[in-house]
Amino acid sequence: MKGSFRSSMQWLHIWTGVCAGWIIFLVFFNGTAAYFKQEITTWMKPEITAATDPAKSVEGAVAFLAAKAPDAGTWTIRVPDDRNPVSEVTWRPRPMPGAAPVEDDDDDDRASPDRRATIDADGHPLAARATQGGDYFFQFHFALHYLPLLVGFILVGLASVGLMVALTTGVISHRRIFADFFTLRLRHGQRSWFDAHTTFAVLALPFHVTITYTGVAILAFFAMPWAVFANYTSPRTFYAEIMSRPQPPKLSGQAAPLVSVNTVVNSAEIIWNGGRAETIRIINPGDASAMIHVDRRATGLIASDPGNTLTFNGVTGALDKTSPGRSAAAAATFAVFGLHEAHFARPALRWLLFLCGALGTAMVATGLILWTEKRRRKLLDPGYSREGFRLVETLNVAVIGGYPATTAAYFWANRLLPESYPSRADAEILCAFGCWGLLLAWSVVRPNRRAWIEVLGVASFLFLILPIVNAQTSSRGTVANLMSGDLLYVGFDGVLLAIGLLFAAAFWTGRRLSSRTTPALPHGASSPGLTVLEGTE
Amino acid sequence: MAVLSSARPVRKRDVVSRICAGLLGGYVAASAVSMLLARVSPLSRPNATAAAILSTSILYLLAILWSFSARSPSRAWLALAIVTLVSGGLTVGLIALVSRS
Repeated sequence: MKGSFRSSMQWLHIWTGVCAGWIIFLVFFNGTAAYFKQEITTWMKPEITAATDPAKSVEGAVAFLAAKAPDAGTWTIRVPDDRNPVSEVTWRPRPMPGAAPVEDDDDDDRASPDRRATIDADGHPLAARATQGGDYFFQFHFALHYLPLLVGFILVGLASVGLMVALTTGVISHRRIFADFFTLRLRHGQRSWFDAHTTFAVLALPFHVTITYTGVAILAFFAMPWAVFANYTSPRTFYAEIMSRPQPPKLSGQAAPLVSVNTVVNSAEIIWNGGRAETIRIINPGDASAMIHVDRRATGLIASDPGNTLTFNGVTGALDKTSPGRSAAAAATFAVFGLHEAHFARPALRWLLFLCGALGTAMVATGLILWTEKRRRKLLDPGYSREGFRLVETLNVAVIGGYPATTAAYFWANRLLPESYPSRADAEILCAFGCWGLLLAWSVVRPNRRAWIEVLGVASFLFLILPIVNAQTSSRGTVANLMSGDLLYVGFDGVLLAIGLLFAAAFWTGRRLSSRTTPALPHGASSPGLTVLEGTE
Repeated sequence: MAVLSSARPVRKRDVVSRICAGLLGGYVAASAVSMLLARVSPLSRPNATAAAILSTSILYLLAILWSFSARSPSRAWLALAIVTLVSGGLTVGLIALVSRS
């Protein structure tokens, strides 16, 4: 019975892996990039210069909002910090009288573009090229792209459950998990792919387990929240109890000038005794009922929201109330979100997480390739279905080789599209997807082994030349950045070169092997899959 | 009925049945158990609810693994149905009879 349990788990591992694999690859790849979402945005807006004075930026943000949206119900200002040198502001209209107050979260990521702006370090609206920046990776990571939010969300949700199943069954069905950790048989074809797959999986297993569980648990809050109905008639009551967000004050109708926001932030930071402000929310600005909420930055705390909100009177600047401490439920919930989003990670830990994410991406990629390598011999059997094999083989090239090239094309478009190009932010993404479409078409029409080599070559070219494109177009080339010690630009170039060299190595390996191996059957329409990428059997 | 394995051929109907059992039956069963957990847990109301939601994904995982390791698809369905009916029934009964503050 034990043997058959293990083999059914193995079967489940293989098939959930190959069904969910491509979406999971994209989720892992984009999620890993999203660890540096803020830095990517800053890189994609080279007009941004380093922060000088956060207070000046906040002051400018308030002045901008007072001119732009004097009648707004809420102004939200994200204060500049170590990772983001500019203030991000969003605003929201006053709720209609009688209408239920908008109680969605104050997540400034989702405000529509006509209700958001960026204020530079000197307090002026930032004149930067339009781009989605790192948000593109973040959004793609949980909802894909060009799909209705719900559809993307469901696809990612199903794939994440698949990942959780594949990870668990992978551990169950793996007999020699410890011994195989030290096993790496290079140049053995299928066995090398197997060893690489298990090594990438085991090397960062705690990370994979954490990121998968927290990811699925976050999705469960949206997709399987039925436990709420066992205790509450409406989910609103539950979330109100967990979040304990203060009720917005009623509009008085009497005009009153807003207190200096920086004074309020200073008093908050004195109360926190060294804690820094992250977000300032100003309710009913310009009205006698104005309130200012200051949220504390979560540095050094796992929870994505430390729940240390201070509320000040918006006219006098006096402290009105402190938020009650988090309940255990809220603390656990925010810890799950926080572990996944890693707001707490300082640079060293952030790089480690980035590396772990890269290992996860590699685990998925090698797993998908292993599927084809294991089945290659079966192609000699005339009864074996070639369509399925060909599909997996083609999608592997288009996703594993093609998607990374697509992100490089996204960065190219960011540097090469003219700044005044109509709907420029969308055009950048369209360029990226155009490139992906071409690579997909290419992997369909070319014999698989050639397609691999060519797509890997394109990817390495796009990544390796990008630092030069950047140097030519943004007046912030590698040498200048090294001289001025601009770590963000130097780090970005370093990562591009590392990825480019990785693809170049794969490209050369593929070329070397393809010149050495002779296919078991001649190429042709009858044996589209009979190409051996790796290994001389 | 044969257990799923990579070595032996499997019947298409059985596989489809197990996939449906895991994805759909597992979803319903995991939701029902999480509702029961939220209801009977000795924690306070918001804590019990959050703990139940956080455990839902693990319950779903277990239900999927069960669907593919059960000796036959019908056994997989049967167990999921029993779990759903028992925990769903208990939850509905508790909601109707016992008020919770």
